Amino acid sequence: MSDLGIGLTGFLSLFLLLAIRMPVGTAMLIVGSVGIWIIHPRGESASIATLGGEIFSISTVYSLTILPLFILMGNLAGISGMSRDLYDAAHAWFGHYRGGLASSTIVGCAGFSALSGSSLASAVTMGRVALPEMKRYNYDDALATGSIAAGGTLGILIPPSAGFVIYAILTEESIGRLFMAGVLPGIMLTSLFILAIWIKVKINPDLAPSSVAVLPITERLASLRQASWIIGIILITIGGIYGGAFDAVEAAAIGAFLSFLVCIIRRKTQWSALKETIAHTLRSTATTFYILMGAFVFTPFVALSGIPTALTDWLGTLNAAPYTVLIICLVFFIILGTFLEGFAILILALPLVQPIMEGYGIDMIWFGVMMVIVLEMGLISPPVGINVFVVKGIAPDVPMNTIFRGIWPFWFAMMAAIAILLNFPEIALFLPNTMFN
Amino acid sequence: MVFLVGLTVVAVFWRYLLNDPIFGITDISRMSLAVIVAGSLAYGARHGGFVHVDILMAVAGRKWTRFTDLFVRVAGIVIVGVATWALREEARCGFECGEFTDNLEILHPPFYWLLAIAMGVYCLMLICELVIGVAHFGAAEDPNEHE
Repeated sequence: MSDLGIGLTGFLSLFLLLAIRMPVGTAMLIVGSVGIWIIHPRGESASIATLGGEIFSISTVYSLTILPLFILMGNLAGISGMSRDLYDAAHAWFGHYRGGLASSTIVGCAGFSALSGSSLASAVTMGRVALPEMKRYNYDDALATGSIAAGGTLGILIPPSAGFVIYAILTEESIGRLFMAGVLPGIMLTSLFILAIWIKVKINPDLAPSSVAVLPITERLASLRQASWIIGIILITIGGIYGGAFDAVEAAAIGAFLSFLVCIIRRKTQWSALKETIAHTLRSTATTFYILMGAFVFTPFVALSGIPTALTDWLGTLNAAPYTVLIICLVFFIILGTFLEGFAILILALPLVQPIMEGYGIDMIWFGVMMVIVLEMGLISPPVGINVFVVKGIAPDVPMNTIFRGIWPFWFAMMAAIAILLNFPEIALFLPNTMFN
Repeated sequence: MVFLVGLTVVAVFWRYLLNDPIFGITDISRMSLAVIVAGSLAYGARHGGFVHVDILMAVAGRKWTRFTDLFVRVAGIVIVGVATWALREEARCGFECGEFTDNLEILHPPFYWLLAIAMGVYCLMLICELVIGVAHFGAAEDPNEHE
């Protein structure tokens, strides 16, 4: 069998292993090491050396220290009560509009996303705060749960984002530039989500039958003052990266340190809470690094098989325009997102897609932002939208199909965001291109 | 993790307040990350931290998953076992193989060993899950099914 044939068999085997519930990291470790063993001239020794060497090297990449630090920062923000402050502020400012509580949830998720790189953490943290409130005001279950699931997805677009970190490591792009590239699209997507809620409620006012009374300006300002801790930390970390005061890793450490200080000031440092924070951080770190270990063994196999070169050559014969290729890739990722985990898509697809995109002269930062939005769509797409399952955990009485029904307006908002970004790449590229003045 | 946070914060303050960057801070951060990753792998192995795609259960039910889970665990034991061995092999070669950090020349082998131990723990967890899975093969539920 040719190397190309072995490569394609490898991909097929990988999908098969994933389908039988094998952990993503394990599946990639198996296919990658067996593939290298078969293709590489040094066979077994090359495979063993790759396995040991790559596991160690991915565990000692300086820029990846950002992952546990940002996960820790997000978890500390959760126990310190800062997420609640953020929701309360959004509630005070937007709660009185029709569908305002759902919009507040989206704003709260967007704000919390700026402290946490995880979409699951955003959905869980904000969901616990927002769902009882929406139930109290008789919001439609689909709208309430849909807004939490969709709002949570902002976690991997608004910096700090675990998705961007992994993308940066795989494509050798700058984490800081990718973080900056996510800011304006993140704000745009937040606005599109709010617009989706507004349209839904305008068409059917019964979805959000009642609203909160308008609060006096003094109360609104007080809520903003209460949220000033979280806003301050966000400004220091993201502003520090943008201004070049420190790199992304240092920003993560400073953010975690400041969040811990807030916990101390607010007397939220009970042993049980801290223990849970560390446990969550360790579990999320394990999840991400195990997938990365698999990816770093799988990627050399893909390169050795010659699939990326063959794919690039084949696309070259089609004489397709760069935008056509880009759109085909994005559609392909949207389809993959319906049944594959987001990080797995990044890791599986990037080694194939990166040479193609670079060959067509497509900016990899711009492409990264669109790819992350596509991954967000996967997080809420049936049948394996992870955020939907997380929301189901918070709202056990709401049927699964009701939650899935509620996500569609947001799914189309994400499609709109991609369409806008395709036409106006500057939205993603403006901040990274103006970093450090 | 606390050490890594403290170290980085101190390094930033040192750079700005004393205008004196600490030499080799990147080396210490990198090796601290290896310790965190090893710890998290062992913890993740014990507490179901590794994600998988779960469509089969909904489509086929336990009638099929008890067979596939058996295969998944055996394959997992083999690859994680080989990875443990591969890390141990790398750990045996130290300074002579150029296995040390760029600035402070911190030797890599202890960190290879840590990762090997973490992988070994995961391998042991998988063996336990396999034994429990076989013992519950005919039962309506496997205690580790959802992990």
